[in-house]
Amino acid sequence: MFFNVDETYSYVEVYGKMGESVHLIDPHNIFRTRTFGFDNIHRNILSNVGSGDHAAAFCRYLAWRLPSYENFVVMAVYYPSLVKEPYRRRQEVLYRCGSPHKEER
Amino acid sequence: MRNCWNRLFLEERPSIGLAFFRIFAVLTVGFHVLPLFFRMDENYLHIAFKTLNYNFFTPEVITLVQKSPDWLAWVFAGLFCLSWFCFLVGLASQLSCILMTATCYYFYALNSFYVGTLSWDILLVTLFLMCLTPYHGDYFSVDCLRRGDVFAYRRQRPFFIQRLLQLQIGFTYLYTGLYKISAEGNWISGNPIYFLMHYPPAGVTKYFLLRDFLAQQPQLCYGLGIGILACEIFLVFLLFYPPARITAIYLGFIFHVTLILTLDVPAIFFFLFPPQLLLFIDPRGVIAWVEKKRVYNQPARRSRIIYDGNCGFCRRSLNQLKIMDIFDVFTPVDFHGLYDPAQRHPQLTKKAVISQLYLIEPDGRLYGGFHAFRRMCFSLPMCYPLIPVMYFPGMGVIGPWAYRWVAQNRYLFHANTVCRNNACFR
Repeated sequence: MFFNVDETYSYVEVYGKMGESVHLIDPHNIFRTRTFGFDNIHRNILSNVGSGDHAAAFCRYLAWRLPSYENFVVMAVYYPSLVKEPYRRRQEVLYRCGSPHKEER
Repeated sequence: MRNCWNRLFLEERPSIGLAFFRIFAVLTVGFHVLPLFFRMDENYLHIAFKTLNYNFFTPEVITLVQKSPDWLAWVFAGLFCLSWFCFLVGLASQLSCILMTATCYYFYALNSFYVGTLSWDILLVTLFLMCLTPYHGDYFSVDCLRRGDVFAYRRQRPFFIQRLLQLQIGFTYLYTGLYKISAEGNWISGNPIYFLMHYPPAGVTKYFLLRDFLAQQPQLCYGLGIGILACEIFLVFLLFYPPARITAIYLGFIFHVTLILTLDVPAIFFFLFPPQLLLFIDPRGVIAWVEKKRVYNQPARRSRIIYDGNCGFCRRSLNQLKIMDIFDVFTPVDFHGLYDPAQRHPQLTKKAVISQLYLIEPDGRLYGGFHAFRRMCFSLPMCYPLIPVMYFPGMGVIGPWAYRWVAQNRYLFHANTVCRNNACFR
């Protein structure tokens, strides 16, 4: 645990499209299970969905979990240096989830 | 060599420490698994988002488990809840431990997304070790009440399970420390604590009191990192060196409290490891302390329990109470042996003692029925979990009513042919 901690950091954000508006979805609304004593989301559990291998399963899950959204975008957020440039962050689209049960790479 | 092996692993020592540890192990499992069942669909049913741990299970096992229909996941959830509760109260302790551990493995193979952490793997090893013997059910358990051994608290057992659990936690610290300075770790070449203090809000670091201060102190953070590293590497040696053992246990406690206050890491570390550190306390010392307390509680210092010795249910209950009475603070007195109950307490009459059980404390205070039982809970460590229940709002009304009903029908609760139809109750 914490064997290697450097000054970079990354996590995953999920955006949902509803009509013309796009919302950043609170990850606690995506994975709602609460555990005793710690916050799974802050443990960066959402980073697991960033892998392309999980795209299809995650899109299917999102469509079921948040049916009011038409499309979803899964993005990676990357901090290249938390110490030198704490506010500089890069974002990259990892994949998009089309409606329904279909994802685009 | 043989003597050394026997002394370290096979020598018999009281198993009370292991029984105490069982409660914390089972609570830790419950804290992590039970919340997952509140949203079965999101965690384990066909629609759930799943990750599979191929590092822990073979592909064959995962393939087999993934074929589970939803109803089977529900069955295993029910089995887990049942075995978890039985293991918690120590009913068929070894069997319930095996069943609970098996269901834990099943759910881990079904979906490792939420629980799949290093600490969960460590917990599963702990549970596996506990499956090997029933020693953890020797005390603080329903099993010990069923066996009826009044001296269950000092039952001697081979020490090897407790020793293996000691080795497990000791080497967990050692290896995590070594891994941090190996090729994959950067605790010497980098400054991990300093970087953690700069993590964004979504990160793993909590907003604790000194976070902003530490974020401005790279040298201090580096020193803290080296300190933590040294603690992790040397803790195993301190734990196994008797003169340094208590210091090491305190150090471990401080380490885990600090961890839970500063980082969002699995709480298994907090709930399981401190009790596991307590396994380093020699159970012979604990029993010697208990025996001293028992000697100190000479008859004059004991509370008297006035009960009905003609009632088999009452006698059996009193025997169970003696098992729970680890500090020997109660002396049961059968009111049938008293010429006049008022000899024991001026407020007691024959009619009163027939109707319910009474507790007379050494200072002369008198408690009857439900209130006596509630008072007794404070002196019986095995009944401590009942104290919040006994004082729950409404128990002041429900408790005496339930007690009265049991007391009035107490002759129906035992197989006495003379007393059928509650004929002995007057």
